[in-house]
Amino acid sequence: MCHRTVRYVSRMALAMLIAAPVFSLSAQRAQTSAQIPPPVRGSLYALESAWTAHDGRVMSLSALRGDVVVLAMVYTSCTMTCPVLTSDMLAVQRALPPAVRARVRFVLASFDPARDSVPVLRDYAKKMSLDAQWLAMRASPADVRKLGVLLNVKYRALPNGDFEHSNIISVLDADGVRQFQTDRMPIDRAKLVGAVMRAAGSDSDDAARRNRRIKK
Amino acid sequence: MRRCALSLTDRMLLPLLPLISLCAMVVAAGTQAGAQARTPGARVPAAHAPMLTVAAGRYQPLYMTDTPVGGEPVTTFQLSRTAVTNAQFLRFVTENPQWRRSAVNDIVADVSYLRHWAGDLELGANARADAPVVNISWFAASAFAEWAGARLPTMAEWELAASRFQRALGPRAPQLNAIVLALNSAAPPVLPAVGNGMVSDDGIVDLHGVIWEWVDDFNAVVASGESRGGGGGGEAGLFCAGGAAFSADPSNYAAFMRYALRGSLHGPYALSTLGFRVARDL
Repeated sequence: MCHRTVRYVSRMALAMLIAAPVFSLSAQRAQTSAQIPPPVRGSLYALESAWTAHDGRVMSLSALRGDVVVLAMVYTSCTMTCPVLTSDMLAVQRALPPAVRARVRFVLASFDPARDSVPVLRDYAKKMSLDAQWLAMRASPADVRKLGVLLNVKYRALPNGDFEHSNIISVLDADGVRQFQTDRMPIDRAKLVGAVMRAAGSDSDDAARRNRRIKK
Repeated sequence: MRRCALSLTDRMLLPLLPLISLCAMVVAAGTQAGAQARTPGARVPAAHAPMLTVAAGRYQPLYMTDTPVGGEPVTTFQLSRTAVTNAQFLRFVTENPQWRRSAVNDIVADVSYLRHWAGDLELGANARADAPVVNISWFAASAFAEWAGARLPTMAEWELAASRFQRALGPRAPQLNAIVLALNSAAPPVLPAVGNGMVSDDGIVDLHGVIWEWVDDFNAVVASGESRGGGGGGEAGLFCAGGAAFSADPSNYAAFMRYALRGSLHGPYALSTLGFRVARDL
């Protein structure tokens, strides 16, 4: 018998021996993952999805964990309600006291990934003067759909390239749990500011004071 | 002839060969036994029913006045012959523990998720193995499709497939709407096996009568007053008489019911009358 055969057989056997525990280990891991305590109830960060931000950063939604998040789903070529949603969010950002503002991220998730490429999103961020607290991001159509379904944002492409869509701004707390959602246009900015303050755990008197000031 | 030279490693391994082989055999046997224990029954079921090709066509949506004349074009695609069954879904949750009833995350499935099953990995008396799986959230249906290397059909694809019964109905084809409504009202409490319902011209079975089915873009129905209102009739109101003015075919009450159902759904909802089938690009 040629040694080459012996060598082959012994190497195969060794490979199997090495591989077997790895397989059983991964199976074990899959088994035990069911016993790991579930993440915070209602946290959107349980959703697995991959996004690319306007600065080119690839991230999962859970990368936003720890900050309060004000989030809207838009498309940048929208000329009707989406710019209004963005300006509403900008107004909320301006109305927040600096200490809270530093802990709040503003996120625009596009439901038009075909046209909203990273450069398009970067241009949009520039055009709308969005600062470092902002993220405009895109994902695969499947991941966009998942986020839309989670947030109850409905959208449908129209033949002319526009979208028919919900106009919803959501507020997530530091754990990614949705604490507030606007339901209709025009958006009550004072109410939205109050919701962000509450999600940030800020003094409610302070929030009420600010609400009054905005209403004037 | 060139001599076969053994490397140092091989020389060291050679005396151990019988031992290594024995260990490998023991490990292999153990793995096999484990696999059998995980899936009761001798045969592992296929992930889903065979895929059949649905010929391209045009879908005329309800309430969409901006649709091109003749309807929205749908390209040729594949759709599973029958809906995904309890047995098929059991295999999925067996292999994906995070989708078991006791482990599933609350944002992707509500409390009714798989409630008709006897346990995490046990079907029980209310869930025949060959019946369509129901009490499934959209997220769970999507995850199954992804796992099976497929996807959920779009609303346009599903509706197109569900509109073709020329062959099955012959001269009664114009009465499809009435036939579907009659079937819907006769749905039994414990669901029967898949594959016994009406066969479409493309060979797809049970599209009407047994269960409702999830579609990928069920949330494309912009039903409330949130729409931008530029082109669609979404704001016209689903249930008021005014809405009918936008309807492409007011007599198609069965399609209207599907439309209304989709508009009322949320992704985590699990309903006892709602299952799914899978699709694929051709």
